[in-house]
Amino acid sequence: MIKKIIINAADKTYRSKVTLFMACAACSLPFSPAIAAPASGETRTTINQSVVVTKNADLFFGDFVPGGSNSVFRLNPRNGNLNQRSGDAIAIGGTPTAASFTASGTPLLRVRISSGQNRIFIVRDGGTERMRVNRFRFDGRRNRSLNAAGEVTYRVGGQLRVGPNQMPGTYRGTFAVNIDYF
Amino acid sequence: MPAPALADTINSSLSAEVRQPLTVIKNSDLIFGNFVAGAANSDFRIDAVTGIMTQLNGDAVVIGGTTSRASFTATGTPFAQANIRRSQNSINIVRVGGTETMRVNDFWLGNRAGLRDQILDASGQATYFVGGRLRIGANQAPGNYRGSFDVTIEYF
Repeated sequence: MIKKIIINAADKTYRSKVTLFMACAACSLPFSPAIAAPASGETRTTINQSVVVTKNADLFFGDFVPGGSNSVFRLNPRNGNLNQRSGDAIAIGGTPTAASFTASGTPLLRVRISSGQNRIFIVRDGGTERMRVNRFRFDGRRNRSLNAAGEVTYRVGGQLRVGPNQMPGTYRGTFAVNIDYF
Repeated sequence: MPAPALADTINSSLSAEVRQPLTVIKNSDLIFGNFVAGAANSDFRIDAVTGIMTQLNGDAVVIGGTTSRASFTATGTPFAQANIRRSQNSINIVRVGGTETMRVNDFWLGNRAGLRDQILDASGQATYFVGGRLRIGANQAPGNYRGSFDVTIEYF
């Protein structure tokens, strides 16, 4: 009687193990690899050429004979034309020319030009007399895209004031523009 | 007369949890944007939590372009804990068409709260962000630089 009971207990244990094993076999194939998932990301950045600016032409207002009052002339950066705004000085030729700058950098990037100053005074060679130049203007939008060759050209005009009885001579000065990526 | 107790029974509990496979998709790459190199080494870091890039040192100049932290979404068993880990601390990204390199290191992992270890939400998802630090060399050669990095997201 005692022996029979022991045999039954062993049978139950054996069946239980078989059942557990089958359950694990059934589930292990689809699920066991699913404890970690690797992933990759890309990192990227772009280093661009510095903007290099070349001056193609200076800003020339030309030749004048002064008058008896202040006289203002504007040089149009789009077409290089000189227009008299006021006064009685007379433009007598020379070569009025808009300044021109070419920026070189990474093709198709956007650049912006800005004027380094609002006004300057140009000074007579060998003397101290001055004339004011202001209203520096560009031939269109300040913000432009470099072309496929990585270049864009800006022209710059301005406004000159010739004083009454301005001292004769050659007057010179400098102005600055900045061209940067933005 | 009752029979004597010759056998006893004791119950033991057994449990097993079967989880859904974790799957990970990449939402975005780690992109530092456009620069002009300077005369000194320059370091920039993208914050994994905010996605904002800051300049740590140097004189290189940021000139725009797209800047983004990397982003990955893991999908698995709802409410399970899943942790993200990086596979490397430093990589070199290489100029396309060239051999010049820049170092990207300090990979920074987290979610919006800065946590690397997350509990998947009710739909079984969590999103992880990756930031990092870029070093631009002095007079770094112009060009597009690319590289790849690995992360692993696993159940805890």
